[in-house]
Amino acid sequence: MSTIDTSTKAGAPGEPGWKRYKFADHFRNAEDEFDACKLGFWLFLATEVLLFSGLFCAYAMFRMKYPEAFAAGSHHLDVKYGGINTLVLLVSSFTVAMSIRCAQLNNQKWLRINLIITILCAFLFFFIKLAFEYIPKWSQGIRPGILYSNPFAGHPQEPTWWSVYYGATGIHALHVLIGAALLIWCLVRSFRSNQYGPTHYTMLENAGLYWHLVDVIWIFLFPLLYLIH
Amino acid sequence: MTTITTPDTGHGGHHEGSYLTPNKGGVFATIIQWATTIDHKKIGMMYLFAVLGMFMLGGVAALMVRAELWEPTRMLADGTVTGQFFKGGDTASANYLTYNRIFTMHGAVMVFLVIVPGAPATLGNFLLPLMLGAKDVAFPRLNLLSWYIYLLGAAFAVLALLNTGADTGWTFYTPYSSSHAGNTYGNIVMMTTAAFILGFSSILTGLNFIVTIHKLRCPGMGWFDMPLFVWAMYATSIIQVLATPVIGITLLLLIFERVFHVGIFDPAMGGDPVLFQHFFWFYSHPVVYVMILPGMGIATELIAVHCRKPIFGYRAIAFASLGIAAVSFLVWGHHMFASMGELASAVFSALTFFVAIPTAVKVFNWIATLYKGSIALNTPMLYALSFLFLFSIGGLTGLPLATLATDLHLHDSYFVVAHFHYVMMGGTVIAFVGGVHHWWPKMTGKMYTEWVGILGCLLVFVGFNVTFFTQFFLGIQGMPRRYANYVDEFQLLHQISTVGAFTLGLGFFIQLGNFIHSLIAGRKAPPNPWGGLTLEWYIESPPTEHNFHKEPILTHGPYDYEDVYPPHCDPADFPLPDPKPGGANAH
Amino acid sequence: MQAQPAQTFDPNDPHGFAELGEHHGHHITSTRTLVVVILTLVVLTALTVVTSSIETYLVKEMGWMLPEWVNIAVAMSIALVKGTLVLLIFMALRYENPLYSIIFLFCMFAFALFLGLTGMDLDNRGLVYDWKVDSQQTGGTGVNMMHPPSTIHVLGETIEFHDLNSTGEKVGFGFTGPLAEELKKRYIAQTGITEAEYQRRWAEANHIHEHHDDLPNADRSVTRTGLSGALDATASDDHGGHDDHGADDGHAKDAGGH
Repeated sequence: MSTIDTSTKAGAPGEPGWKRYKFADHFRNAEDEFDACKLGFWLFLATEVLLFSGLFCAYAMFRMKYPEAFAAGSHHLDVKYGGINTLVLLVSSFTVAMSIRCAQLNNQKWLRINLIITILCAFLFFFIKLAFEYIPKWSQGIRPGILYSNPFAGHPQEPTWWSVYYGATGIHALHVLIGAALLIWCLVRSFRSNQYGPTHYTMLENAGLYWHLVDVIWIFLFPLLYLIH
Repeated sequence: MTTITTPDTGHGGHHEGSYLTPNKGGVFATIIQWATTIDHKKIGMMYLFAVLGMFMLGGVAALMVRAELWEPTRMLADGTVTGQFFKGGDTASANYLTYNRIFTMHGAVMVFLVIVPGAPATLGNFLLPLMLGAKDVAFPRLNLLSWYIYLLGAAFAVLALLNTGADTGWTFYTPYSSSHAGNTYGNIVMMTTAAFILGFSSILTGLNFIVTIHKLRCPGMGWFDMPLFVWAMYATSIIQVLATPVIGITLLLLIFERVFHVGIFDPAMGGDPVLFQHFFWFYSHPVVYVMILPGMGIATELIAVHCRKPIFGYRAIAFASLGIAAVSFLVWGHHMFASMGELASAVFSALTFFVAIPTAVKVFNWIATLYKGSIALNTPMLYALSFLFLFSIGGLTGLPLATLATDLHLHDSYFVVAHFHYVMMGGTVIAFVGGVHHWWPKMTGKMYTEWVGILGCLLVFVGFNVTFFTQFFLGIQGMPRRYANYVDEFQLLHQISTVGAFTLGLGFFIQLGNFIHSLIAGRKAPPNPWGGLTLEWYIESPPTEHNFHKEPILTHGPYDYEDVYPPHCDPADFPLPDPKPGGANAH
Repeated sequence: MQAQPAQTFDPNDPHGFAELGEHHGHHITSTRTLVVVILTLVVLTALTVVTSSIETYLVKEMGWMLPEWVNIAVAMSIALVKGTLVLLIFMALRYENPLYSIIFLFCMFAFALFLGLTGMDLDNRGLVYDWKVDSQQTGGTGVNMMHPPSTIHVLGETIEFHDLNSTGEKVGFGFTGPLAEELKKRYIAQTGITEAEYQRRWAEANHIHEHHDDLPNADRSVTRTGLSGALDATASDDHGGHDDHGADDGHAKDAGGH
């Protein structure tokens, strides 16, 4: 086992992937491997949270210094779309938790249905963001940094607010895409070989955790960006 | 009664080759085998060569800096020699900027490419599974990914540095580094991208180690039976995981600032340049503890083994490692006393004094370990003793820098330069080189030449002190850092420092020669030349692919020199104080 | 030596590896729990929006002077509850090894340190020396800090500074002041409208209604908030709307202006 070993198949062919999965041999048993993978993934989630902490810090510092600019800028954001996006992400969190539950109970059909709904919610989020927020704003000249060209800034410091807005929501949207990609990969594997079942659903669990984190970050971003007065 | 299973080397015919045995398919097959390996030992060795290579690059830059400082006015960086090497600008302005590019290269290469990956990725990767009795780290493929990310980041960094370089200093302070792209000479975006990529390598390594330590300890090894090097790596990994993402977002914001001129760090748009410093140092202070903690772990191992004495205060050192990791997050503002407001400065100054406490606990425990120990003054031990001395000086000189009143005079002077070189180089690099010597027989199966090692150590020690002790005086007398020109009064001290630097370089060069010679013609190393008791000494030098033939079951602590005969050694060489009949270790 | 327990898989046992001695099997969250949580989250989201509307109403219509931190405190408390629910139930922190919760709490601690201490600095910059707050001037200085004056006189020499790129050409934004002002100037120059017309368009773009209705007149009295100087204003005062903004900006201008 000195090179990358991609064949983890043991057992009778034709069996679902989750039954055929054999844990890596430097672990004592499958339970250990699952726990280790989950521990590693929680550490990775901690790094993602700290990545966003930089953005939250920039937001907090500038809101502290220029509260009126932030209030003026926030008024240009439509709470309706922010609220719909929040609900979309919350529902998608629910469906991904349900799909993990289905994996634990070997309900392959509903596992996939829930995953599909989650992925559709991800794309809906992205679509609403682009179509109703980014593109209309961009065409009005409301852009990050030096690209800002709207002559009717509500406050002299409003361009900073928009930079913070684009930065925070942009990086969050990037993470939505990454999460959706992970879930699509899980879906593909599920279709191909019934990869997730009661004894093996590590990848699905971790993708679900990533997705929940993306949701939690939006839960905090939404009031901070859309509901300032 | 269960014992440690020792590999029976009398297996004869089907004796497995070591992990270094080339692939039977020839050179190309061997290269592919190493390029796709998930064996932590091979990955550790690859990191070792890369880190040593980068160390030479950074060292050459350092020697160029010291050579430039021989004269109070321009010498090398005069547009004719180096000015053409570093492109850009006209001759008049290229002088000034070239020196800046050289010290930026030195700093960035040393920090991001040598010291931060240094001990964790090389010795940590190699030793952690061995010390824990495991077959590999928790996520071997992630380990390989970490290595390739490091290579990618190193490629970006070297490309950026050779292509106009960067002249901001390795700290990339705004507003200079974030100014409109035309202002700074150099490829800042490429440099920061390189550092961003290297951050991921660091995070993944740390993540891997934490899970390995939690999950892959062999039977019988509780948390307080682990070697203290493992505790040090654990604390290091915690810092790596929590702090590195912040430099990621910082560099990302810096790139946005340069490309889109977002304005958060630029007063021209209502931003705050000191905010960048907060962001930057929130990572960069904990990272200096990422640098020193493995060094302290190595020193603990070296002192214990070469004094043949159980480490004094095992739990104190273990908890002190964690304590240093925790406190390291509280003190980043002490790099910014001159930029911050007074309230924050006072708070950070007070917090900075706390970090001395766990550090001092460790130093006193090491000294207590030396007391009445059976000290063997071989090369690794000399390095460990040098570490104690040099790190203590470095730590103590941090105190005038932590004190607000004195720091205002010493800020950005050569005193700071001397302080951090004492801790980073006198601490981490010395401990790292000592560790490489100590585990060289295990990693390569060859012994180095002892007298050359001792000569190298002495040259390094003398050269280091001559170089950097004089810089304390320069700093107190007012020599600012990062200046290519200086007043004539400082010339003598600068010249002494330069002589020391070249001596230091000579010392490292001699050691490199020692290592190369040992690889080519060194005598074969025994499995346990030093009489160590931790699990890596129970297997062959170099180890086989799978580390242990059977999963070891631990029955004694890592420093039980008074109770247990060391494996593979003649009991006459390492007698026990009152030998127990039968011993705890059956062969 | 020590026999490893046999790795058997029992197809009838949904957990599969429960017999390996781990007493905590894999917790399966019930559908009911998940549904209750999602409904709670939806309700809390609605609550967040409603509370912010209430705040707006209280400030605008009722004239209450809510301190700034109320908005953040209320919104963040509700967000904290929502986030905790997701973390505990959806991410199963409640049912898992406490180690994961510890990791997350450490992470939160580092986050709190970062924001707290940085905020402590940025907020208290001017405690001893006023000039330390200058960099945080509202609207920005508009001038690149690297070359603040364009000409300086040093030791009898006059030195000119420009933004130069690596080939020596002059580059730069060509700004002479803060970004927003600069854009306004350019817009007015391009369209050729008057200042008053610009103000009208600005008010329209920012959905700011004329304040004449908010001013007391003979037929109605209106509660006013803000600096008392504006209480004397009447419906006939054209600058009423803009004075409000002047009053709002007073604090920020005092901090940065000369």
